[in-house]
Amino acid sequence: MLLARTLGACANAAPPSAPKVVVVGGGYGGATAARYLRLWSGATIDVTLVERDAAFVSCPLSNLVIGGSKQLADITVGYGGLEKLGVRRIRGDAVAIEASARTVALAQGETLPYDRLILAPGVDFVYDGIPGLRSLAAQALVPHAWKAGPQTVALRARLEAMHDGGVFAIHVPRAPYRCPPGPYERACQVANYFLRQKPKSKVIILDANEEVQSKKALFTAAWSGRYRGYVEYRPNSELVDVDPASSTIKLDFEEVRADVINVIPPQRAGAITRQMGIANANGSFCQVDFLSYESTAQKYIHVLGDAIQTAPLMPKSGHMANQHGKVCAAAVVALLSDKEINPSPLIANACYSYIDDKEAAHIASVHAYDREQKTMLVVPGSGGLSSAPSVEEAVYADAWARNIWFDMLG
Amino acid sequence: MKLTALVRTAGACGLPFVLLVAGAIEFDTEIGDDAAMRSACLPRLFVAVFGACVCLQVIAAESDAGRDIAANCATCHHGERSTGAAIPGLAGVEKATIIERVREFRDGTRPSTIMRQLANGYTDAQIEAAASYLAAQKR
Repeated sequence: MLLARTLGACANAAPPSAPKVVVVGGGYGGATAARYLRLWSGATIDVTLVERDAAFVSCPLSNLVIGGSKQLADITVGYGGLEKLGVRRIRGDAVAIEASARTVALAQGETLPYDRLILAPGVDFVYDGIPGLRSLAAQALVPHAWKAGPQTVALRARLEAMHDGGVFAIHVPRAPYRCPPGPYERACQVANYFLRQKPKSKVIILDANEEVQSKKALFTAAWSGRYRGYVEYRPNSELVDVDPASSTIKLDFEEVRADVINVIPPQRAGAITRQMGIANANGSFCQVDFLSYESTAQKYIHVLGDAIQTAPLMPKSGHMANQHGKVCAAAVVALLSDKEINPSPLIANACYSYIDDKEAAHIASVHAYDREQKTMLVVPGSGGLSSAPSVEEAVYADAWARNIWFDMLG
Repeated sequence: MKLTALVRTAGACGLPFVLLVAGAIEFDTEIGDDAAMRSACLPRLFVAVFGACVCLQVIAAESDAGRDIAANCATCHHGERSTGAAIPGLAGVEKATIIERVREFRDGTRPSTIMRQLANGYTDAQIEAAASYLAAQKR
Protein backbone atom coordinates (compact mmCIF):
# COMPACT_ATOMS: atom_id res chain seq x y z
CA MET A 1 0.00 0.00 0.00
CA LEU A 2 1.59 3.19 -1.18
CA LEU A 3 0.03 5.29 1.51
CA ALA A 4 1.20 2.97 4.24
CA ARG A 5 4.72 2.84 2.86
CA THR A 6 4.90 6.60 2.64
CA LEU A 7 3.64 6.91 6.16
CA GLY A 8 6.07 4.28 7.35
CA ALA A 9 8.98 6.17 5.83
CA CYS A 10 8.11 9.31 7.74
CA ALA A 11 6.79 7.52 10.78
CA ASN A 12 8.84 9.46 13.26
CA ALA A 13 8.86 12.71 11.37
CA ALA A 14 5.73 14.29 12.83
CA PRO A 15 6.67 17.82 13.87
CA PRO A 16 6.62 18.62 17.59
CA SER A 17 3.71 20.98 17.00
CA ALA A 18 1.55 18.20 15.53
CA PRO A 19 -1.81 17.76 17.23
CA LYS A 20 -1.77 14.98 19.80
CA VAL A 21 -4.34 12.23 20.15
CA VAL A 22 -4.07 9.59 22.86
CA VAL A 23 -6.04 6.39 22.38
CA VAL A 24 -6.62 4.21 25.45
CA GLY A 25 -7.31 0.58 24.57
CA GLY A 26 -6.10 -1.39 21.56
CA GLY A 27 -9.15 -3.51 20.76
CA TYR A 28 -11.51 -3.34 17.79
CA GLY A 29 -12.45 0.30 18.47
CA GLY A 30 -9.21 1.82 19.73
CA ALA A 31 -6.84 0.17 17.28
CA THR A 32 -9.08 1.13 14.35
CA ALA A 33 -9.21 4.74 15.50
CA ALA A 34 -5.42 4.88 15.92
CA ARG A 35 -4.80 3.45 12.45
CA TYR A 36 -7.33 5.61 10.65
CA LEU A 37 -6.16 8.78 12.42
CA ARG A 38 -2.75 8.20 10.86
CA LEU A 39 -4.13 7.23 7.44
CA TRP A 40 -6.68 10.00 7.11
CA SER A 41 -4.53 12.79 8.52
CA GLY A 42 -1.67 11.94 6.17
CA ALA A 43 0.41 11.18 9.27
CA THR A 44 0.07 14.75 10.51
CA ILE A 45 -1.49 13.75 13.83
CA ASP A 46 0.72 12.40 16.60
CA VAL A 47 -1.06 9.25 17.81
CA THR A 48 -0.21 7.39 21.02
CA LEU A 49 -1.90 4.07 21.84
CA VAL A 50 -1.95 3.00 25.48
CA GLU A 51 -2.65 -0.72 25.74
CA ARG A 52 -2.20 -3.06 28.67
CA ASP A 53 -1.54 -6.25 26.70
CA ALA A 54 1.43 -7.13 24.49
CA ALA A 55 -0.77 -8.23 21.58
CA PHE A 56 -4.38 -8.08 20.44
CA VAL A 57 -6.43 -11.22 21.16
CA SER A 58 -9.78 -11.35 19.38
CA CYS A 59 -13.00 -12.04 21.25
CA PRO A 60 -14.72 -12.93 17.94
CA LEU A 61 -13.57 -16.49 17.12
CA SER A 62 -12.45 -17.11 20.72
CA ASN A 63 -15.36 -19.52 21.20
CA LEU A 64 -13.59 -21.74 18.66
CA VAL A 65 -10.68 -22.01 21.09
CA ILE A 66 -13.16 -23.13 23.73
CA GLY A 67 -14.63 -25.63 21.27
CA GLY A 68 -11.15 -26.89 20.43
CA SER A 69 -10.94 -26.08 16.72
CA LYS A 70 -8.60 -23.07 17.10
CA GLN A 71 -5.69 -22.13 19.32
CA LEU A 72 -5.17 -18.79 21.05
CA ALA A 73 -2.27 -18.06 18.66
CA ASP A 74 -4.74 -18.23 15.73
CA ILE A 75 -6.68 -15.25 17.12
CA THR A 76 -3.70 -13.17 18.30
CA VAL A 77 -2.22 -10.30 16.27
CA GLY A 78 0.66 -8.01 17.26
CA TYR A 79 0.72 -4.21 17.20
CA GLY A 80 3.70 -3.97 14.82
CA GLY A 81 1.52 -2.83 11.91
CA LEU A 82 0.34 0.20 13.87
CA GLU A 83 3.88 1.04 14.94
CA LYS A 84 5.01 0.92 11.30
CA LEU A 85 2.34 3.54 10.57
CA GLY A 86 3.91 5.78 13.18
CA VAL A 87 1.59 5.06 16.10
CA ARG A 88 3.52 5.32 19.36
CA ARG A 89 2.52 2.34 21.48
CA ILE A 90 2.88 2.38 25.24
CA ARG A 91 2.23 -0.82 27.11
CA GLY A 92 0.52 0.19 30.28
CA ASP A 93 -2.60 1.36 32.07
CA ALA A 94 -4.19 4.79 31.92
CA VAL A 95 -5.18 5.52 35.51
CA ALA A 96 -6.21 9.17 35.74
CA ILE A 97 -7.40 11.92 33.44
CA GLU A 98 -7.07 15.63 34.13
CA ALA A 99 -9.73 16.99 31.81
CA SER A 100 -9.01 20.69 32.43
CA ALA A 101 -5.31 20.24 31.72
CA ARG A 102 -6.02 17.68 29.00
CA THR A 103 -3.56 15.11 30.28
CA VAL A 104 -3.81 11.42 30.98
CA ALA A 105 -1.60 9.73 33.58
CA LEU A 106 -0.29 6.20 33.23
CA ALA A 107 0.28 3.73 36.04
CA GLN A 108 4.01 3.70 35.37
CA GLY A 109 4.22 7.45 36.02
CA GLU A 110 4.26 9.04 32.58
CA THR A 111 1.76 11.82 31.87
CA LEU A 112 0.60 12.31 28.28
CA PRO A 113 -0.84 15.60 27.01
CA TYR A 114 -3.63 15.42 24.43
CA ASP A 115 -5.70 17.60 22.15
CA ARG A 116 -8.24 14.80 21.88
CA LEU A 117 -8.47 11.67 24.04
CA ILE A 118 -10.15 8.52 22.73
CA LEU A 119 -11.20 5.98 25.32
CA ALA A 120 -11.87 2.45 24.11
CA PRO A 121 -11.62 0.58 27.40
CA GLY A 122 -14.13 -2.16 26.66
CA VAL A 123 -16.17 -3.51 29.53
CA ASP A 124 -15.51 -4.31 33.17
CA PHE A 125 -17.36 -7.08 34.96
CA VAL A 126 -19.77 -6.30 37.76
CA TYR A 127 -19.64 -8.77 40.64
CA ASP A 128 -21.70 -6.68 43.08
CA GLY A 129 -24.76 -8.89 42.64
CA ILE A 130 -22.79 -12.17 42.89
CA PRO A 131 -21.56 -12.38 46.51
CA GLY A 132 -19.76 -15.69 45.99
CA LEU A 133 -17.60 -14.20 43.26
CA ARG A 134 -16.57 -10.94 44.92
CA SER A 135 -13.04 -12.10 45.74
CA LEU A 136 -10.42 -12.38 43.03
CA ALA A 137 -9.68 -15.90 44.28
CA ALA A 138 -13.30 -16.92 43.73
CA GLN A 139 -13.38 -15.27 40.32
CA ALA A 140 -10.34 -17.29 39.29
CA LEU A 141 -12.26 -20.48 40.05
CA VAL A 142 -15.10 -19.54 37.67
CA PRO A 143 -13.60 -18.13 34.44
CA HIS A 144 -15.92 -15.87 32.45
CA ALA A 145 -13.72 -16.18 29.33
CA TRP A 146 -15.52 -13.04 28.10
CA LYS A 147 -12.24 -11.27 27.38
CA ALA A 148 -10.18 -13.45 25.09
CA GLY A 149 -6.87 -14.55 26.58
CA PRO A 150 -5.78 -16.70 29.51
CA GLN A 151 -9.38 -17.23 30.69
CA THR A 152 -10.31 -18.61 27.27
CA VAL A 153 -7.55 -21.21 27.60
CA ALA A 154 -8.53 -21.92 31.22
CA LEU A 155 -12.13 -22.68 30.28
CA ARG A 156 -11.00 -24.96 27.46
CA ALA A 157 -8.72 -26.81 29.88
CA ARG A 158 -11.63 -27.41 32.26
CA LEU A 159 -13.76 -28.84 29.49
CA GLU A 160 -10.91 -31.12 28.44
CA ALA A 161 -10.44 -32.31 32.01
CA MET A 162 -14.17 -32.97 32.50
CA HIS A 163 -15.26 -36.64 32.44
CA ASP A 164 -17.65 -37.88 29.77
CA GLY A 165 -21.10 -37.68 31.27
CA GLY A 166 -20.42 -34.30 32.85
CA VAL A 167 -22.46 -31.10 32.62
CA PHE A 168 -21.32 -27.67 31.40
CA ALA A 169 -23.53 -24.79 32.60
CA ILE A 170 -23.23 -21.28 31.18
CA HIS A 171 -25.03 -18.28 32.66
CA VAL A 172 -25.99 -15.39 30.35
CA PRO A 173 -26.41 -11.95 32.01
CA ARG A 174 -29.22 -9.54 31.31
CA ALA A 175 -28.72 -7.48 28.16
CA PRO A 176 -26.93 -5.26 27.33
CA TYR A 177 -23.71 -7.26 27.39
CA ARG A 178 -20.76 -7.63 25.00
CA CYS A 179 -21.54 -9.78 21.93
CA PRO A 180 -25.25 -10.68 22.09
CA PRO A 181 -24.95 -14.02 20.21
CA GLY A 182 -21.69 -14.99 21.93
CA PRO A 183 -23.07 -17.11 24.79
CA TYR A 184 -25.23 -19.14 22.42
CA GLU A 185 -22.34 -19.63 19.99
CA ARG A 186 -20.27 -20.84 22.94
CA ALA A 187 -22.97 -23.33 23.90
CA CYS A 188 -22.89 -24.64 20.30
CA GLN A 189 -19.10 -24.96 20.34
CA VAL A 190 -19.10 -26.90 23.60
CA ALA A 191 -21.99 -29.07 22.38
CA ASN A 192 -20.04 -29.82 19.20
CA TYR A 193 -17.05 -30.89 21.31
CA PHE A 194 -19.24 -33.11 23.45
CA LEU A 195 -20.99 -34.62 20.42
CA ARG A 196 -17.65 -35.67 18.97
CA GLN A 197 -15.61 -36.53 22.03
CA LYS A 198 -17.78 -36.73 25.16
CA PRO A 199 -21.16 -37.93 23.91
CA LYS A 200 -22.66 -38.58 27.35
CA SER A 201 -22.14 -34.95 28.37
CA LYS A 202 -24.55 -32.06 28.28
CA VAL A 203 -24.75 -28.24 28.03
CA ILE A 204 -27.22 -26.18 30.09
CA ILE A 205 -27.78 -22.54 29.13
CA LEU A 206 -29.14 -20.46 32.01
CA ASP A 207 -30.29 -17.18 30.50
CA ALA A 208 -31.30 -14.22 32.65
CA ASN A 209 -33.20 -12.90 29.63
CA GLU A 210 -36.65 -13.93 28.46
CA GLU A 211 -35.33 -15.31 25.20
CA VAL A 212 -32.25 -15.86 23.06
CA GLN A 213 -30.84 -12.38 22.40
CA SER A 214 -29.53 -12.77 18.85
CA LYS A 215 -29.88 -15.18 15.90
CA LYS A 216 -32.63 -16.91 17.88
CA ALA A 217 -34.06 -18.97 15.03
CA LEU A 218 -30.62 -20.23 14.02
CA PHE A 219 -29.53 -21.22 17.50
CA THR A 220 -32.78 -22.85 18.53
CA ALA A 221 -32.78 -24.84 15.28
CA ALA A 222 -29.28 -26.10 16.09
CA TRP A 223 -30.22 -27.07 19.65
CA SER A 224 -33.28 -28.99 18.55
CA GLY A 225 -31.51 -30.38 15.47
CA ARG A 226 -27.86 -31.33 15.37
CA TYR A 227 -27.47 -30.88 19.15
CA ARG A 228 -30.72 -32.56 20.20
CA GLY A 229 -30.15 -34.12 23.59
CA TYR A 230 -26.96 -32.12 24.16
CA VAL A 231 -28.29 -28.62 24.86
CA GLU A 232 -30.95 -27.49 27.30
CA TYR A 233 -32.03 -23.83 27.20
CA ARG A 234 -33.65 -22.24 30.27
CA PRO A 235 -34.82 -18.61 29.88
CA ASN A 236 -35.70 -16.28 32.80
CA SER A 237 -32.88 -17.75 34.88
CA GLU A 238 -32.05 -14.82 37.14
CA LEU A 239 -28.71 -15.30 38.87
CA VAL A 240 -28.74 -14.96 42.66
CA ASP A 241 -25.29 -16.27 43.55
CA VAL A 242 -22.52 -18.65 42.63
CA ASP A 243 -20.75 -21.12 44.91
CA PRO A 244 -17.36 -21.88 43.36
CA ALA A 245 -16.55 -24.58 45.96
CA SER A 246 -19.51 -26.77 44.99
CA SER A 247 -19.55 -25.55 41.37
CA THR A 248 -23.13 -24.38 41.76
CA ILE A 249 -25.10 -21.60 40.08
CA LYS A 250 -27.91 -20.33 42.34
CA LEU A 251 -31.03 -19.02 40.63
CA ASP A 252 -34.24 -17.54 42.03
CA PHE A 253 -35.95 -20.86 42.51
CA GLU A 254 -33.33 -23.54 42.00
CA GLU A 255 -29.69 -24.41 42.18
CA VAL A 256 -27.80 -25.89 39.25
CA ARG A 257 -24.67 -27.88 40.01
CA ALA A 258 -22.47 -28.61 37.04
CA ASP A 259 -19.02 -30.06 36.47
CA VAL A 260 -17.85 -26.93 34.66
CA ILE A 261 -19.59 -23.60 35.27
CA ASN A 262 -19.12 -20.48 33.17
CA VAL A 263 -20.73 -17.34 34.56
CA ILE A 264 -20.63 -14.32 32.27
CA PRO A 265 -21.06 -11.45 34.74
CA PRO A 266 -23.04 -8.28 34.03
CA GLN A 267 -20.93 -5.57 32.43
CA ARG A 268 -20.36 -1.84 32.37
CA ALA A 269 -17.94 0.57 30.72
CA GLY A 270 -14.27 0.28 31.69
CA ALA A 271 -13.21 1.81 35.01
CA ILE A 272 -11.50 4.90 33.63
CA THR A 273 -14.78 6.19 32.20
CA ARG A 274 -16.53 5.76 35.52
CA GLN A 275 -13.72 7.52 37.40
CA MET A 276 -14.16 10.41 34.96
CA GLY A 277 -17.90 10.54 35.51
CA ILE A 278 -18.58 10.06 31.83
CA ALA A 279 -20.40 6.73 32.21
CA ASN A 280 -23.54 8.85 32.32
CA ALA A 281 -26.10 6.26 31.22
CA ASN A 282 -27.17 4.76 34.57
CA GLY A 283 -23.56 4.88 35.68
CA SER A 284 -22.92 1.92 33.39
CA PHE A 285 -22.17 3.11 29.87
CA CYS A 286 -21.10 6.36 28.19
CA GLN A 287 -23.45 8.54 26.19
CA VAL A 288 -21.79 9.93 23.09
CA ASP A 289 -22.55 12.24 20.19
CA PHE A 290 -22.87 9.77 17.31
CA LEU A 291 -21.37 12.31 14.89
CA SER A 292 -17.99 12.21 16.61
CA TYR A 293 -18.25 9.73 19.54
CA GLU A 294 -17.38 12.65 21.82
CA SER A 295 -18.68 12.15 25.34
CA THR A 296 -21.83 14.13 26.11
CA ALA A 297 -20.35 14.76 29.58
CA GLN A 298 -16.80 15.87 28.79
CA LYS A 299 -15.43 17.84 25.87
CA TYR A 300 -12.33 16.58 24.02
CA ILE A 301 -12.90 13.00 25.25
CA HIS A 302 -14.34 10.43 22.86
CA VAL A 303 -15.58 6.93 23.75
CA LEU A 304 -15.80 3.92 21.44
CA GLY A 305 -16.96 0.34 21.32
CA ASP A 306 -18.56 -1.70 24.06
CA ALA A 307 -18.18 1.14 26.58
CA ILE A 308 -20.81 3.34 24.92
CA GLN A 309 -24.52 3.51 25.51
CA THR A 310 -25.54 2.07 22.17
CA ALA A 311 -28.18 3.35 19.79
CA PRO A 312 -31.35 1.23 19.28
CA LEU A 313 -30.57 -2.20 17.78
CA MET A 314 -26.84 -1.43 17.75
CA PRO A 315 -25.08 -4.50 19.17
CA LYS A 316 -21.96 -4.40 21.31
CA SER A 317 -19.84 -6.09 18.66
CA GLY A 318 -16.25 -5.87 17.43
CA HIS A 319 -17.48 -4.89 13.99
CA MET A 320 -19.51 -2.01 15.45
CA ALA A 321 -16.51 -0.86 17.50
CA ASN A 322 -14.43 -0.82 14.31
CA GLN A 323 -17.08 1.37 12.69
CA HIS A 324 -17.20 3.68 15.72
CA GLY A 325 -13.42 4.00 15.41
CA LYS A 326 -13.62 5.18 11.82
CA VAL A 327 -16.42 7.72 12.38
CA CYS A 328 -14.49 9.03 15.38
CA ALA A 329 -11.18 9.18 13.47
CA ALA A 330 -12.83 11.08 10.60
CA ALA A 331 -14.39 13.55 13.05
CA VAL A 332 -11.18 14.05 15.03
CA VAL A 333 -9.16 14.65 11.85
CA ALA A 334 -11.76 17.23 10.80
CA LEU A 335 -11.95 18.89 14.22
CA LEU A 336 -8.17 19.18 14.49
CA SER A 337 -8.02 20.89 11.10
CA ASP A 338 -11.04 23.15 11.67
CA LYS A 339 -13.17 21.38 9.07
CA GLU A 340 -16.81 20.36 9.19
CA ILE A 341 -17.47 16.85 10.46
CA ASN A 342 -19.59 14.43 8.42
CA PRO A 343 -23.22 15.37 9.32
CA SER A 344 -24.67 12.02 8.24
CA PRO A 345 -22.47 9.06 9.20
CA LEU A 346 -23.47 5.61 8.06
CA ILE A 347 -22.16 2.43 9.66
CA ALA A 348 -22.73 -1.28 9.21
CA ASN A 349 -22.56 -4.43 11.28
CA ALA A 350 -21.71 -7.94 10.15
CA CYS A 351 -21.53 -10.59 12.81
CA TYR A 352 -20.84 -14.27 12.18
CA SER A 353 -21.47 -17.07 14.66
CA TYR A 354 -20.06 -20.56 14.25
CA ILE A 355 -22.68 -23.23 14.80
CA ASP A 356 -20.05 -26.00 14.81
CA ASP A 357 -16.41 -26.06 13.67
CA LYS A 358 -17.31 -25.93 9.96
CA GLU A 359 -20.55 -23.97 9.58
CA ALA A 360 -21.43 -20.38 10.40
CA ALA A 361 -24.33 -17.95 10.07
CA HIS A 362 -24.54 -14.16 10.13
CA ILE A 363 -26.62 -11.23 11.26
CA ALA A 364 -26.16 -7.88 9.52
CA SER A 365 -27.51 -4.32 9.66
CA VAL A 366 -26.84 -0.82 8.35
CA HIS A 367 -27.33 2.21 10.63
CA ALA A 368 -27.70 5.84 9.56
CA TYR A 369 -27.61 9.02 11.65
CA ASP A 370 -31.05 10.50 12.30
CA ARG A 371 -30.78 14.26 12.67
CA GLU A 372 -34.04 14.69 14.55
CA GLN A 373 -33.45 11.96 17.10
CA LYS A 374 -29.67 12.53 17.14
CA THR A 375 -29.00 8.82 17.15
CA MET A 376 -28.17 5.97 14.78
CA LEU A 377 -31.18 4.12 13.39
CA VAL A 378 -31.30 0.95 11.32
CA VAL A 379 -31.89 1.81 7.66
CA PRO A 380 -35.34 0.39 6.81
CA GLY A 381 -35.06 -2.69 4.61
CA SER A 382 -31.41 -3.30 5.44
CA GLY A 383 -29.96 -6.19 7.36
CA GLY A 384 -31.11 -9.65 8.23
CA LEU A 385 -30.10 -13.15 9.21
CA SER A 386 -28.76 -16.16 7.36
CA SER A 387 -31.51 -18.55 6.37
CA ALA A 388 -29.39 -21.41 7.70
CA PRO A 389 -25.80 -22.03 8.77
CA SER A 390 -23.44 -23.08 5.99
CA VAL A 391 -19.88 -24.07 5.21
CA GLU A 392 -19.78 -21.18 2.73
CA GLU A 393 -20.48 -18.66 5.48
CA ALA A 394 -17.77 -20.18 7.67
CA VAL A 395 -15.33 -19.38 4.85
CA TYR A 396 -16.59 -15.80 4.89
CA ALA A 397 -16.46 -15.66 8.67
CA ASP A 398 -12.81 -16.64 8.65
CA ALA A 399 -12.07 -14.09 5.90
CA TRP A 400 -14.02 -11.46 7.84
CA ALA A 401 -11.76 -11.98 10.85
CA ARG A 402 -8.52 -11.79 8.92
CA ASN A 403 -9.65 -8.75 7.00
CA ILE A 404 -10.94 -6.77 9.97
CA TRP A 405 -7.75 -7.55 11.90
CA PHE A 406 -5.82 -6.07 9.00
CA ASP A 407 -8.22 -3.11 8.83
CA MET A 408 -7.57 -2.24 12.47
CA LEU A 409 -3.96 -3.35 12.97
CA GLY A 410 -2.37 -3.14 9.51
CA MET B 1 -8.49 -19.19 -13.92
CA LYS B 2 -9.79 -18.96 -10.42
CA LEU B 3 -10.87 -15.67 -9.05
CA THR B 4 -8.66 -16.05 -6.02
CA ALA B 5 -5.69 -16.05 -8.35
CA LEU B 6 -7.02 -12.96 -10.05
CA VAL B 7 -7.45 -11.22 -6.77
CA ARG B 8 -3.90 -12.08 -5.80
CA THR B 9 -2.64 -10.86 -9.14
CA ALA B 10 -4.56 -7.69 -8.63
CA GLY B 11 -3.05 -7.37 -5.19
CA ALA B 12 0.43 -7.75 -6.57
CA CYS B 13 -0.07 -4.90 -8.99
CA GLY B 14 -1.74 -2.79 -6.51
CA LEU B 15 -4.96 -2.95 -4.63
CA PRO B 16 -4.35 -1.05 -1.44
CA PHE B 17 -7.21 -0.77 0.74
CA VAL B 18 -9.11 -3.22 -0.97
CA LEU B 19 -12.63 -2.88 -0.49
CA LEU B 20 -15.64 -4.18 -1.52
CA VAL B 21 -16.44 -5.53 -4.77
CA ALA B 22 -19.42 -6.81 -3.46
CA GLY B 23 -19.77 -8.67 -6.60
CA ALA B 24 -16.75 -10.75 -6.32
CA ILE B 25 -17.27 -11.54 -2.75
CA GLU B 26 -19.98 -14.00 -3.21
CA PHE B 27 -18.56 -15.85 -6.13
CA ASP B 28 -14.97 -16.12 -5.13
CA THR B 29 -15.38 -19.49 -3.60
CA GLU B 30 -15.81 -23.04 -4.68
CA ILE B 31 -18.76 -23.44 -2.44
CA GLY B 32 -22.14 -21.98 -2.40
CA ASP B 33 -23.99 -19.89 -4.88
CA ASP B 34 -24.83 -20.72 -8.45
CA ALA B 35 -21.69 -21.89 -10.21
CA ALA B 36 -22.91 -21.05 -13.68
CA MET B 37 -23.62 -17.50 -12.71
CA ARG B 38 -20.23 -17.26 -11.11
CA SER B 39 -18.35 -18.39 -14.17
CA ALA B 40 -20.40 -16.07 -16.34
CA CYS B 41 -19.22 -13.18 -14.21
CA LEU B 42 -15.56 -14.03 -14.21
CA PRO B 43 -14.63 -12.47 -17.56
CA ARG B 44 -16.19 -9.17 -16.57
CA LEU B 45 -14.46 -9.13 -13.25
CA PHE B 46 -11.19 -10.06 -14.88
CA VAL B 47 -11.48 -7.14 -17.24
CA ALA B 48 -12.29 -4.85 -14.36
CA VAL B 49 -9.44 -5.94 -12.16
CA PHE B 50 -6.93 -6.16 -14.99
CA GLY B 51 -8.01 -2.76 -16.20
CA ALA B 52 -7.51 -1.31 -12.77
CA CYS B 53 -3.98 -2.65 -12.65
CA VAL B 54 -3.05 -1.30 -16.04
CA CYS B 55 -4.60 2.05 -15.44
CA LEU B 56 -2.17 3.82 -13.19
CA GLN B 57 -3.44 7.36 -13.35
CA VAL B 58 -4.06 8.84 -9.99
CA ILE B 59 -7.55 10.13 -9.68
CA ALA B 60 -7.91 13.22 -7.58
CA ALA B 61 -8.92 12.69 -4.00
CA GLU B 62 -12.60 12.06 -3.68
CA SER B 63 -14.78 13.78 -1.18
CA ASP B 64 -14.68 12.60 2.39
CA ALA B 65 -18.26 11.42 1.99
CA GLY B 66 -17.17 8.74 -0.46
CA ARG B 67 -14.20 7.90 1.73
CA ASP B 68 -16.36 7.50 4.81
CA ILE B 69 -18.87 5.21 3.11
CA ALA B 70 -16.09 3.19 1.48
CA ALA B 71 -14.61 2.72 4.95
CA ASN B 72 -17.63 0.54 5.74
CA CYS B 73 -16.65 -1.72 2.85
CA ALA B 74 -13.01 -1.77 3.93
CA THR B 75 -13.74 -3.57 7.18
CA CYS B 76 -14.30 -6.84 5.28
CA HIS B 77 -12.85 -6.21 1.84
CA HIS B 78 -9.10 -6.42 2.24
CA GLY B 79 -9.22 -9.32 -0.18
CA GLU B 80 -5.61 -9.07 -1.28
CA ARG B 81 -4.60 -10.76 1.95
CA SER B 82 -4.10 -14.36 0.95
CA THR B 83 -5.86 -15.79 3.96
CA GLY B 84 -8.80 -13.43 3.76
CA ALA B 85 -9.19 -13.60 0.00
CA ALA B 86 -12.55 -15.34 0.09
CA ILE B 87 -13.83 -11.78 0.40
CA PRO B 88 -12.29 -9.90 -2.51
CA GLY B 89 -10.54 -6.58 -2.40
CA LEU B 90 -12.18 -3.55 -3.96
CA ALA B 91 -9.52 -0.89 -4.21
CA GLY B 92 -8.78 0.04 -7.77
CA VAL B 93 -11.73 -1.88 -9.13
CA GLU B 94 -13.57 0.01 -11.86
CA LYS B 95 -16.29 2.27 -10.53
CA ALA B 96 -18.96 0.97 -12.91
CA THR B 97 -18.21 -2.61 -11.90
CA ILE B 98 -18.61 -1.87 -8.20
CA ILE B 99 -21.87 -0.01 -8.79
CA GLU B 100 -23.22 -2.79 -10.98
CA ARG B 101 -22.35 -5.52 -8.48
CA VAL B 102 -23.85 -3.72 -5.51
CA ARG B 103 -27.04 -2.99 -7.44
CA GLU B 104 -27.27 -6.62 -8.53
CA PHE B 105 -26.98 -7.72 -4.93
CA ARG B 106 -29.58 -5.17 -3.87
CA ASP B 107 -32.00 -6.24 -6.59
CA GLY B 108 -31.41 -9.88 -5.81
CA THR B 109 -30.39 -10.61 -9.39
CA ARG B 110 -27.03 -11.85 -8.07
CA PRO B 111 -27.28 -14.46 -5.32
CA SER B 112 -25.60 -13.62 -2.05
CA THR B 113 -25.49 -14.53 1.61
CA ILE B 114 -24.96 -11.17 3.32
CA MET B 115 -24.46 -8.65 0.52
CA ARG B 116 -28.12 -8.11 -0.34
CA GLN B 117 -28.88 -7.26 3.28
CA LEU B 118 -25.99 -4.79 3.44
CA ALA B 119 -26.53 -3.29 -0.03
CA ASN B 120 -30.13 -2.53 0.96
CA GLY B 121 -28.78 0.00 3.44
CA TYR B 122 -27.28 2.31 0.81
CA THR B 123 -28.81 4.72 -1.71
CA ASP B 124 -27.66 4.93 -5.32
CA ALA B 125 -25.82 8.16 -4.53
CA GLN B 126 -24.03 6.58 -1.55
CA ILE B 127 -22.99 3.55 -3.60
CA GLU B 128 -21.69 5.82 -6.34
CA ALA B 129 -19.72 7.96 -3.90
CA ALA B 130 -18.11 4.89 -2.33
CA ALA B 131 -17.41 3.34 -5.74
CA SER B 132 -15.70 6.51 -6.94
CA TYR B 133 -13.45 6.53 -3.91
CA LEU B 134 -12.67 2.82 -4.16
CA ALA B 135 -11.92 2.97 -7.87
CA ALA B 136 -9.43 5.75 -7.22
CA GLN B 137 -7.50 3.76 -4.62
CA LYS B 138 -4.32 2.11 -5.73
CA ARG B 139 -1.28 0.62 -4.19
